[in-house]
Amino acid sequence: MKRGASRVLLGLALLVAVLALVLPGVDGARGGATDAAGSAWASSSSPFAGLDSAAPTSSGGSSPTTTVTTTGGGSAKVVTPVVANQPRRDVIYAAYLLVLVGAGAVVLWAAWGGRRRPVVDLSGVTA
Amino acid sequence: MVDPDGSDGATLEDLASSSVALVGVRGELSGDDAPPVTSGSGTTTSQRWGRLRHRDLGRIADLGVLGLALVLAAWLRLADLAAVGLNSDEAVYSGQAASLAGNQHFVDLFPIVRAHPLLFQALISPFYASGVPDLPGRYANVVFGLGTIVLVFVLGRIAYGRRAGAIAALLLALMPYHVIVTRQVLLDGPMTFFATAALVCLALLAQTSNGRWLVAAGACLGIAALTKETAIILVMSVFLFLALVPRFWRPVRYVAGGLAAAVGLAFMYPLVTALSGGGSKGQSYLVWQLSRRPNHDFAFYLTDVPATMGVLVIVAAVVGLVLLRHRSSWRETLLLAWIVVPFVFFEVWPVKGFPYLLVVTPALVVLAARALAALIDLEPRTLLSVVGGVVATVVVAGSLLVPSYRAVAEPSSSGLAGAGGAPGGREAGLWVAQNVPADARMMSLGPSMGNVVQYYSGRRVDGLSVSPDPLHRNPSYQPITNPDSALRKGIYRYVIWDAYSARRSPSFAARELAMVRKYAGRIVHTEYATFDGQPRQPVVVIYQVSR
Repeated sequence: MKRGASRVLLGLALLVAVLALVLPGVDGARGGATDAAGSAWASSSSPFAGLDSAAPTSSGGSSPTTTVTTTGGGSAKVVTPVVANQPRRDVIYAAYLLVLVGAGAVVLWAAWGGRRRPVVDLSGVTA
Repeated sequence: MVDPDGSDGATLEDLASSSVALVGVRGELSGDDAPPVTSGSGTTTSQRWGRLRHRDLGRIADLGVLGLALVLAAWLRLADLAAVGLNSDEAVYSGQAASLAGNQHFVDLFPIVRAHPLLFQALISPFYASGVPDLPGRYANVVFGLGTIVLVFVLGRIAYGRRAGAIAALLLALMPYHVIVTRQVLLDGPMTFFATAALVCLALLAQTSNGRWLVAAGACLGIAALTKETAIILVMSVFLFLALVPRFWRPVRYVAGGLAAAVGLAFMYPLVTALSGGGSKGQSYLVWQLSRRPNHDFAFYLTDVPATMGVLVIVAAVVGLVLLRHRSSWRETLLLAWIVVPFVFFEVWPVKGFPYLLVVTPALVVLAARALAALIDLEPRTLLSVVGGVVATVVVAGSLLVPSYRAVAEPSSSGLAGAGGAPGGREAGLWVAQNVPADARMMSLGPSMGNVVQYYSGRRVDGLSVSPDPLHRNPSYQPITNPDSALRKGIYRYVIWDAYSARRSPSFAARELAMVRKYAGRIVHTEYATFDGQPRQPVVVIYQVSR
């Protein structure tokens, strides 16, 4: 029993580790790169270089608007266009990861207790 | 199946299996794995060694067949994998994966949420994060295909013994239908893998009577449905099996658990789509799928698809069912339920895709292998009977190998979705990427070639044949409501004609060419490939038009 339980836990841990590396890991790495590129853009080539605040003033609509204030006291509204049908990738990855781990756990649970053989039922036996 | 007395037809094989288990020995049911005949005290040592050697030889031969199956399967699925570029469906799934990975080449052209769930696309998406790759999805499908062959071996071994399992694996490895589909970036290969895992769980349920396997089967079916939603119909196969072999109904909590696992996991797709912000699009696809017009006639699954499954495989399965009917048990009920329900469903369903019946192939090859293995193990065993069985197996396998090899050496250019590639499409797309301005929009005859060119070029391509009626078009596609006006205004400066779409819709092809003539179109690029058996035919022609 102890051996079986440890095998199940080991299998689960391996599954989670592999999936966690394969699925969101790559996405996260790319997100980091994108963030870095965005910072570089803001600090160098942006016409808004020197911004001291950037507060989102609306969200959830088709085109979120951000009001930015410059060091000189002026302000401007920046409209960020939303690309059609681009759902949140992190939600998709997380959900499928959860689903795979859950289904894997069920199969392991079955394999754990599934080797038991039944008592022979002689009714209905045909030659 | 069900015996007249209402029992579920448990046979002596079941009894032998259970009896062996009671004494703690994992015995097999047939073939050379069968528990050895009790050796009397008069048995000599040499006789025992002879029997042992015979058994070992049988084991080696069976495992050799399995090894051969895996080697041949890998060769048939990997050889010249990049010879032909992606076809339309492959471009869509690969484009979804790339958009999911945030690849800027694709995000504006291939929406993440389309007609099917995203499990497979999510799994391959890390390989599409940059560049314009077209092979990772195919490799992933090959891996799922090989995995399915291993599962078929396990299934055959549980049901009819190691020899039947090995032969079943060989038949699936060589089957042209399975080879063709698992060489492409399609959802049916991975879905069949998970569905076969569910089938193995059901066989284990029947073998062990442990209800946990029913819950595991439900979980596998749920994952299969998250790969491609059509797998959910296999829940009906499970209930058909449970109805015909009622001893597995109890305890009911396992039945309920299995159903909850299958349906609960399958419903993760609309839930995830809604939570991630793509809900309305998913519903649009559902409406479109339900209202699509038939794309093939009623005989499609009776003529075209069985030919690629292998006529001799089907014949062997049927002959085995007839001749071995006296040995019928839960095994045949399970396998037939796995075949009949999807077949009837897709026969009735108006939309008939070439790869849809892939999910029935594991059950079919196990039934065929059962007959061939029984022929080899025919009692009384003589050299003639063994040779006869082996020859029959070789003939059936050979009848699969030849067309599979031809399918690899000469890929289909039929344009049938899911049946092969679209030669010339990738090359046309790459030409566009190098020679057409980045912001140019292009008009294609249909969305199929449009998807391919769009994938490789990163340029937007709209299909002329896309219906302006939202009910009759794929929600991903933008219709060209007035193509004449669009050309006059210069919205489209390039027009793509392709032989595959022209054969499917000659009226739209004639209309497109008429507009090309009207707007002084001149050919700027042509791709040639073998088409309809004729070498070097123009398959993709790109025109530049003037206002």
